[in-house]
Amino acid sequence: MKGIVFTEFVEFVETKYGLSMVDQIMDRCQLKSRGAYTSVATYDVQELLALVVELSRQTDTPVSELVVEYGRHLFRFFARTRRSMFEHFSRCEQLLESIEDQIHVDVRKLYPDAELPTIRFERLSDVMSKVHYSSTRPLADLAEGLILECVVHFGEPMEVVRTDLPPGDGTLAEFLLSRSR
Amino acid sequence: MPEVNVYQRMFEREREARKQAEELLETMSLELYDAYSQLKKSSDEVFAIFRSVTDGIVTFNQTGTIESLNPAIERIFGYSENVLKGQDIRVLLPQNKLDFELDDEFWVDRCSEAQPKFATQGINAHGQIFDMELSASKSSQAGKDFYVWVIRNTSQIRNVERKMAVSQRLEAIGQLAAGLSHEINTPIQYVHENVKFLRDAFKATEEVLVRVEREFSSAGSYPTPGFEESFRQICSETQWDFFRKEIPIALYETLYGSKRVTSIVQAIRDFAHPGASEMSSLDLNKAITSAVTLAANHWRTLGEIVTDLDRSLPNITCHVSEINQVILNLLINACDAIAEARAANPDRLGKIVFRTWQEGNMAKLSITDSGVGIKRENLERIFTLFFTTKAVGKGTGQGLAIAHSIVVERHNGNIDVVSQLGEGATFIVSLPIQPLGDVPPGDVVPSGGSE
Repeated sequence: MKGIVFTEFVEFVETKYGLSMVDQIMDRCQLKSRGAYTSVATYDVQELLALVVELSRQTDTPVSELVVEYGRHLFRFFARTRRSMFEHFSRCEQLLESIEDQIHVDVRKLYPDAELPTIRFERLSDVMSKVHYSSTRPLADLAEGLILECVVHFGEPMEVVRTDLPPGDGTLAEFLLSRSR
Repeated sequence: MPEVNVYQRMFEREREARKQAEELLETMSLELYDAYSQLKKSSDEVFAIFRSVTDGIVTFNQTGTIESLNPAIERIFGYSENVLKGQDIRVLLPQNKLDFELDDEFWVDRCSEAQPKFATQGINAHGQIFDMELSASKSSQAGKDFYVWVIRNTSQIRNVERKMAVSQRLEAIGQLAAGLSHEINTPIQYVHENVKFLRDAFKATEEVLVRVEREFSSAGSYPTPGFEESFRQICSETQWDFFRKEIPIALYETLYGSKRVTSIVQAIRDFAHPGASEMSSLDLNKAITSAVTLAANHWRTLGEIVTDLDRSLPNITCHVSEINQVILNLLINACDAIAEARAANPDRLGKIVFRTWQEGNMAKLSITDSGVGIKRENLERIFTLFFTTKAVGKGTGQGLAIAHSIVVERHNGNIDVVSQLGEGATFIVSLPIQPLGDVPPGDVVPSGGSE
């Protein structure tokens, strides 16, 4: 997984729980990388999962809740640092629709080895659309956080309903987006 | 407030991360350098190809402004690169080819797969208009559309094709040469014999006249009573009655023979003539008759020719010598097919039927032979240049290909063939009575004829 997801996770933990918490979870996880993350390198996704589980234990917060929260944080980070890209979109659906055919294509140009989830967007009507998430990693919670913050970013009232699909381990999920009339 | 050792560990992690980032940066720099080197090499190769191809390549933007061009464009149009860059692309087209806008509709048509290239005309820096073939395509780079024209000057190719067609026409005449010499020799021989006869006849006539004159001079102004008897004797002695009967026949035959030679020579001239670049009027029925005359010795021993010609067929406007060539090629082809069939079965009767008729604004001509026919798998290839099923030395595979090129490409007509193997073949040629674009509005009758 790309280093930026790790460095931002560290940033997220430090902002929300303080530097001591970062130090504590890293110390307990005995990471192969020793927690020395740089955004342009690639690291084992298991390190991130270990860090989240340890954070959950330390803060007594469910893992899924933490990951959703981190997804929101990550979206805000992208919106802040990739302004030029976000300028192309005026609506939430436009951005979601472009993930697979545009954003992921550009990511692969920069990082040919990037292992990305598949995000399939389907417009059901003027007010309803569906996002299908599929990944080899159980990060549907992260996708949920990203989608929820995307809705907030564009400032349009919209309901997001998530349905986990079999095998129910967070690798497959559908998000139904309903725009308020 | 975190303890000092927490900061210490954070500092260690950050330092480790920085090392990783530096190593990664170095690796990526090397990869980038390699990639750049590869890209530069490829780019140099592509640029070298772009510079060296003989076809002209020019690119321009959506407003038609020329952005790049290769040296072939400079050679074809006679402009230097500096002059052309920044100019409107339409500077390369003559006035009558500017009837388009660089809008989507034009490009949808021109850049479609179905029409990857088309024939048009260009104009060079000296104002000379020339034929060219243009392949158009539309591309996009960095979100901006641009257009690419690949241009080939076809004037020289057309010249070669024309010379080839002329040489094939002469070759066709050459094929008929032996027969033609016989065709001319026969009437010349009897013209010669008849003239010799007329010379003798004149001597006889002269003798009659001299002896009659002598009779008159010895008898004074009037014939003597025995003149009639004497005249009969003179006529008998000089065989005058025979000459009197034969002279008109000899004269008629002589005139017929010389007329026949004249018509053969005229037919040769029609067919061998290089042809004017302008179109002119042609009586298709007369052209068929000329071809039949020209090839008479070729078909006479093979069977018969029947003509079923529509006398009301209007003259067509065409390249006359080229259409003559088409008819002669088809006739020679029919003769060869019959000869092949008769070689296998000498009792088989050869027959060639020419038909003409009008269908809408098209003049139609068909030639049916009772030859060997064409195999189904060869039907699609018979109009291909240098394709022949004839024996070595018998055909070069140019006749039908050139006929097809003349009818389809030069006259916007059509040429079809139907054949039953072993039964013969029918070639149907359709030619516009007026060239396309010259038909007055309302004159066009739907194809299929009247009811």
